[in-house]
Amino acid sequence: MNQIIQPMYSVNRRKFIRQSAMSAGLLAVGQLPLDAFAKSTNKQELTILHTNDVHSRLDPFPMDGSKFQGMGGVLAREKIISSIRNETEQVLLLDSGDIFQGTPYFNKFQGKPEMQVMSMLKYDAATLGNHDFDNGIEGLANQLVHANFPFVNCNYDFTNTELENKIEPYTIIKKGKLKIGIFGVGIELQGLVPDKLFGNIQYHNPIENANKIAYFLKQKKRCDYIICLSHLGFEYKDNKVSDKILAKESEHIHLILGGHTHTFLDEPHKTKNRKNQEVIINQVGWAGIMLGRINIYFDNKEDYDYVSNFTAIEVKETSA
Amino acid sequence: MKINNYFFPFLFLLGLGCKVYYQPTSSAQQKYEVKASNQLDTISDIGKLLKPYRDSLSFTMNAVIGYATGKFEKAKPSGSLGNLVVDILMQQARKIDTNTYGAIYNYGGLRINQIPEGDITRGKIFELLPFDNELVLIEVNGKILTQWLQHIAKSGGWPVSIECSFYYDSLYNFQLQNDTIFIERENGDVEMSINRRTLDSNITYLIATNDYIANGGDNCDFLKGLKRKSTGKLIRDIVLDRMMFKPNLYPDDYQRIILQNPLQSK
Repeated sequence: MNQIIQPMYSVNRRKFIRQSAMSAGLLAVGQLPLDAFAKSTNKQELTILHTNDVHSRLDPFPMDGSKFQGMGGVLAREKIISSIRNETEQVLLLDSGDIFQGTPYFNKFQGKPEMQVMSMLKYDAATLGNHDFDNGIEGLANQLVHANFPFVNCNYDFTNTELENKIEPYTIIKKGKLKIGIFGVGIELQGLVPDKLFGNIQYHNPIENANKIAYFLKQKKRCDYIICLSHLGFEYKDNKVSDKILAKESEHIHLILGGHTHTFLDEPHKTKNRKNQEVIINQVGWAGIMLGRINIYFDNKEDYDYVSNFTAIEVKETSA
Repeated sequence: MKINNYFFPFLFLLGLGCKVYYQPTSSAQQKYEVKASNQLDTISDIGKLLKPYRDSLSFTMNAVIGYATGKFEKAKPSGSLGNLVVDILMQQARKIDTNTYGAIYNYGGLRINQIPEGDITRGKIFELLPFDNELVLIEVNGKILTQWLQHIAKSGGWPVSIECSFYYDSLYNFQLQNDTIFIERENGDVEMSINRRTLDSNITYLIATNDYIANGGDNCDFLKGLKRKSTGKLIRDIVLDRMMFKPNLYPDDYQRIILQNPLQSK
């Protein structure tokens, strides 16, 4: 969707769907019995809110004539989030890393207020960005005590570091009747983060590990929906691993919420995985200027479906 | 009794059927522009939490320490914001070693996109240069410097205090032009002295940069282990000190890196 929609505090869900659908040109309203979702217990709805690369922007940009003046800030974000929580129940709030570094708050307080605020906003999970290591492994570990939500990453090996057992590969969150698997992937630290800051953390192939975890969440944990929090970056000119490449080579991942490249996407990018099933990728710039929202509508089924047939009932795009 | 025979298996089946799974069938999306309506809210819980943090920063960080006579922009291949930083570093480096050939800074090391015309606060310089990186002088031979400049060209351009131009082909292989001429700029905000030279692979050039890059950061492995001179000065402090001495900053958006594809330009 190209236009920016101002927070709608009192909008009802139907209106939201219709507006989003029409402006995004994704759903032809009426093609799907959307109204039925609210009434039937066979239907479930999940609202996923997300941020990335907030970079210690607790306050809005100052009114100094710069491009983003007056934008961002956790107080304004809180207002939007709480209005959404008031209008709908099953909400996930997620962050894709680079919480730290960028304002004097971090220089002076080393990330404590960032973690405290995210806890108060009730973030459900976050992954680690390269700048979250800017005060070293110990600097990050010290701030994790202020976070009441889990950090997930599946391709860094933290064995024999201060972060050992403090970062989980995945977390499973239940919202209503839905079981949602959330895991994280991080960017190659070598060459990006000074050696002494990431110390003994071993980087492993994010695609292999993502597929392993997604398979585990799908087959063993029987999650209804699988979200990857990624700090790989949306895309690169060369073949460096990115969210787009991960999506194409993935299996079982429904949604990739990315970061690192500070990409402002007009709308979520939809692509196909290696089984030709749909994967949604989204990223919302940086500095907390935008809050992303993705609503997923679920249908129940009696048997757990080991091979997702998401594409078989994929929403048709309309050109009109 | 007959009923029971049928009833138990039925119950058993019911038990199995209890577990309901869901599959995603459609999605909708929206994005919210986060815009402050009340920037100084100190009533909410988060407002209350933030207030003491903000208050303890405001005295030092909101202090006006300089003035931008025009708008500074972060841009590739060159931009006035990057030019400003490397020019200040170059001046500082020349004070430490007059043989400094040029200053190079990584594009990603600039953390805000612009400084608007007007007053500049100390906090703004912290936002521009949040990292505690140190100025270092490294000895780079012409061969490695060429490799470094190619790396810079390939990434679209970094702030540099020297001028260089590249040809590139359809595969984005960048070649320094045969007759590459380096123009050393001594002082971006006032004057520049032009000293044309061609890069010589046998000569060692003294380059001012930050320790993050000198340690191989931003995929500059080829710089690891080079002979270096530490200055003990943080990049941010060098800029802050310069502004204490000369508070007015003049934007210079001269394109110092030229990237051209000869096939396209024909």
